[in-house]
Amino acid sequence: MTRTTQHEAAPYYLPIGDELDVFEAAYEARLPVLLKGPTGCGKTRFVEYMTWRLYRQQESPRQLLSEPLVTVSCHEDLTATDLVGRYLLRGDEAVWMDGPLTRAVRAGSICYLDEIVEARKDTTVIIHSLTDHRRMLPIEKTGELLPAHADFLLVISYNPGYQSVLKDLKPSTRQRFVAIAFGYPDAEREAIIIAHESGVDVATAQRLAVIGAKTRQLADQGFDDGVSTRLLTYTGQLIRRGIDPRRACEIGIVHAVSDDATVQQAVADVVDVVLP
Amino acid sequence: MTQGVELLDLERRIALFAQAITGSPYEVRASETFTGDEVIVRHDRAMLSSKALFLPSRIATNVDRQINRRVYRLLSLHQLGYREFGTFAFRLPFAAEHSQVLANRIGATDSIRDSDLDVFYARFAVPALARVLFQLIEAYRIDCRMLAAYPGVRGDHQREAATELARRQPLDFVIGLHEVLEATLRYTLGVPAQALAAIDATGIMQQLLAIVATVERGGADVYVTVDGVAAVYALLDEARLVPPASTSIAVEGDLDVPRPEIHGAPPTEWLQRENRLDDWIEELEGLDAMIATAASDAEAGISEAGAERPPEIEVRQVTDQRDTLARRIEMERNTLRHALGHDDKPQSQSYLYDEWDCHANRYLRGWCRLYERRTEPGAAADVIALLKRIAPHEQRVRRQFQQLPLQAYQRTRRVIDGEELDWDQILDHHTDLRRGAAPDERVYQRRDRVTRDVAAAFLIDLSASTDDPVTKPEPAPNPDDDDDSFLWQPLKIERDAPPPRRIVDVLRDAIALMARALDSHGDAYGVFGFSGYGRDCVEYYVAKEFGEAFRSGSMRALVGMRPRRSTRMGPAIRHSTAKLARTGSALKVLIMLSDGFPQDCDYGPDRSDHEYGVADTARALEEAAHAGIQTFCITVDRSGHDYLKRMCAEDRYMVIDEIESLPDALTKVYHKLTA
Repeated sequence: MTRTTQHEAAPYYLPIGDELDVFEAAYEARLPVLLKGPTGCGKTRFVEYMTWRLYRQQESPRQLLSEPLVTVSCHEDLTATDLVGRYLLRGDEAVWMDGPLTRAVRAGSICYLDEIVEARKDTTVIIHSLTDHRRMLPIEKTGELLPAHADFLLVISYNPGYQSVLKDLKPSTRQRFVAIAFGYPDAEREAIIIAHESGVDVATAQRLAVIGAKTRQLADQGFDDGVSTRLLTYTGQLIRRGIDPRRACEIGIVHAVSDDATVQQAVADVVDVVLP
Repeated sequence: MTQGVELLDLERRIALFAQAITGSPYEVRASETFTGDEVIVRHDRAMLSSKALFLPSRIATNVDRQINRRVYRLLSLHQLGYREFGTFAFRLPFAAEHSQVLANRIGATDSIRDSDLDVFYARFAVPALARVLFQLIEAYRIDCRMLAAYPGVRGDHQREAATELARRQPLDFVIGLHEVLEATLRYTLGVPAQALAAIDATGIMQQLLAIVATVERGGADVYVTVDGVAAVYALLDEARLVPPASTSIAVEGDLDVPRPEIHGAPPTEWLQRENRLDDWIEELEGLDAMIATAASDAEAGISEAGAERPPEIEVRQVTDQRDTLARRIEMERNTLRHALGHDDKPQSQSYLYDEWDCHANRYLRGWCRLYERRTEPGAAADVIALLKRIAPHEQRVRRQFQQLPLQAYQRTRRVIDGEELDWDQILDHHTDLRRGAAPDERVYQRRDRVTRDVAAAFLIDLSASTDDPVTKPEPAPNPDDDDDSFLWQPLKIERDAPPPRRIVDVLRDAIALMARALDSHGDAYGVFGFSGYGRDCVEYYVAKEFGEAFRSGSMRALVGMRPRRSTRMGPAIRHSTAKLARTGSALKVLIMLSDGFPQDCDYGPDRSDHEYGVADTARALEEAAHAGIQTFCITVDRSGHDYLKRMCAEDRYMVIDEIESLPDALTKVYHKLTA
C-alpha cells in the first residue's frame, strides 16, 4: 500500500507546461496540491520528480530527510486507521505504530495520496485539518494533536475521467487544494517520453505515440481515457525486449483498452496501418 | 473460390477505424445507397461524403477473405486521406499566394459561388483537362501522404496497384493526350518513370513525371498539387497536346481515362464547398459581433472620433452585408444538401441493428440504422417551469430513494489486519500465550463496504403521439343537438389560458423528478429518447449519459426532448442494451416509457400490421434479458395490456391509467428492480 521513494538521480520527467513552477510556488506557500488527469499520464512521476527537486537537489536544505516522499495508493477499503496508524500487539504489549500520513507529517515529507477518490469519504475527512491554516493531524486513538512539520506537504491525485457522484471528491475536500490539471502530452513529446522510458528507437516511439493519439479518438467507445502514456511505454519495453511490434501492441494496447471485440479490431487496424 | 467479404460484417469496425483516423464519427454505407443529386457514384467505388464513407457492399476480388477485408481498409484510408491531408482546405486566395505562376493564372477571386476548385479549373482554356490533372495528381499526393503516415498499408497498396495495372488496357506507346494521361496514372500506380519514358513519343513524359513527383516529398499539401496541375498543363500546351476548347467531344475522348478502383471517386469540388462554408459561418459570426459592439457603443453614446461617416450608416452597411452572407450560407447549405444527399442534422454516430421478422421467423441482418445524437438543449425558461412543476413532489421522491441502501458495511472479525482490535480475540490470544499454546494472530476486525453497483437507462418514446394533451379537450357542443340558450351566448376566448399539458410533458417531468433524486443517491443512470422514420433513420437522443452528472446542461437537454415521428422500439432497445452492457455495472436496468404500441412506416410488410413491431420489440427485450438486463415497460396507453402482454412478462410492464401518477409509479418500479 505505501512505499518510500528515494531517488538519488533525478527521476525522468518531461514538463508539458508550467507545472514545475506552479508546484514549486505551491510548495513555497505550503499549499496542498491536487493533481488531476487521466490514468497513466505521469502524475505520480511528476510528484517523484518534484520531490527530487525539492528534497534531493544539492542546494536543498532538506537533503538529509530519509523518506522525502510517502505515497499511498488509495483503495475503497482504505481506512483512517491505515493512514494515521494503529496499535500493534508486540508480545504482551500494544504498541502504537504511525501510519504513512503521520510519518510524513512528523518528518516533513511530501505525502502523496494517489487516486484519493477511491478511498472512503469518511477517510478523506481526516486530512481536512492538515490542509488549512491549522496544519494539524488529530490522532484520535492516542489523543495526540500532531502539528505538521514545516516542510510537510500534502498532494492528492484523482482521475476525473471515470468520476461519478460516488467517486467524486466532496467539495469540502476539493476546495482545500490548488489544482494542476494533466493531460496526455502531444504526440511529439509523448514519443520522447516513450523513447526515454522504454529504450526503443525514436521512429518506433513516434509510431507508438501516433497509435496512442489515434486510439484516444475512440474514447467515447467505452473506454474513458484511451490508451495511456504508461501503456505505450510498456508496449515499447516489450518491443525493446524483442517482441514483434504488432504482437507487443496487441498485448499492451489492443486488449488493454477495451473488452468490446469490435473496438479491439478497430484499434488493431490502427496499429496495423501505423506500424511499418 | 473467392472468399468475399460483406460490408455489413465490417460496418462498425470500419466506422470506428475512420473515427480513430480522423477524430470524427463517420457513417459507413454501401455506395449504392448514396442519394445525392449531383454526384454519380459507381457501386464498386469508394467515395467520401461529409458524414459518410461509401464503400462497395461486397468485395470479392481476392481468394483470401483477410485480403478482401484489408482492401476495405485501404479504400477507406485513401478516402479519409482527402480530409486528413487537406484537399478540401483548398482556397483560391491562398493558392495565389503560393506561387507567382498560380497568382497570374488565378487573378481576381471576388465573390465565389462555385467551388474554389471549379473556379481554378475555369482559369484554363480546357477546364476539363485541368480537372482530370488535378484528380490524377491529387490522388497520387494522397497515396504518398497515406503511405508515409500509415506504412502498414504499403503491401496492400502495392498489391492492389498491381491488380489495377493488370486490369487496364496495355499501353505500348505514348503518342497523344489520352496516352499521356494513362502513362501518368500508371506512374502513380508504381510504374517506373524510365519505363514510361522509354515508350514516349511526345518527348515530354520525363519532364511531366518530374513535375508529378513533386507531391512525393514529405508534407506536400494541396497547393503543391495545383502548382503541378498548372505546370503540367503548360507543358501539354507547349507540346500542342491540349485539344482546342471548342471541340468538346474530342476533349472528352482524350480525357476518358478510367480512375483506378483504389482511388475511388470523392466529390472533391462539393466537399471543398462544404469546407468553405465554415469560413463563411466564421465571417458571419464576426459580423454579428461587430453589429453587437456597434449597438452597445451607440447605446453608450460612443462614436469614433473623426469618423468620416455617421456610425449608424456603417452599422447599416454591416447589417446588409451580414444579411447577404446569411442568405448565401443558407442557399449553399441547401445546394450541398441536395448534391451530397445528406440531412442537415449534426454529425452523429450511426449503428446498424438486426431486426426480427416474425413472418419469416428470422433476423434481418443490419436492417435498421440508428443515429445517436445529443438532444438539442431546450430553453432555460422551460427548465425553470419544469423545476417549479416538480418542486412539490421532490422531497417525497427523494425520501423514497433514501430508503434504498446506498452502501452497507459488513463487519468481519478475526482478520490478520484491520482498522480495529477485536478484544475478544486479544483475550484468547493472551490466554493462549499464557498456557503456552500457539496464539491465533487474527486479532483485528474490519468493516467491509458493500456498494450498490447499478446502471439504469430510461428510454423515452418521443413519437408524435406524445404531443397529444393528457386530458383530451371536451368536444365542442353541436348547437343542433342542444337547444340550451346558454350555448348561444357570445363565445369567450381565454387568451391567457396555459397550453394544455401534453403526454411528453408528463414523461419529462417524471424523468426529471427521478433523475434529481437518483443523482443525490448515486446510481449511474442515463436518459435517452427515441423516434425516427423508417428503418434507415431510427433516431436516438441522449439527454444524459451514464457517467455524467445531472447538471443544468442535462436539464436543458431533457427539456429539449420533444415529440417527433414514429416508434420503432426494437433498435432503440437494442442500442440501450449495448450501452448498458458497456457500463459493466453488476445490476443493469432498462425502463422504457411509452404512450402506445411500436409502429413505423416500414415496421413490417404492412403498415397496419402491428404484430411485426410487437414481435420485434418482444425479441429485443428478450435479447436484453439474455444480456443480464432487467427490463420494464411503462405505458400511459390505457389499451396497453393488449400488446404489452405479448411483448413482455406480466411482472415486467405496467399500464398507467392516471398519467399524473407516473412519477410515483416510476419510483416504485425503480425500487422493485434495484432494491
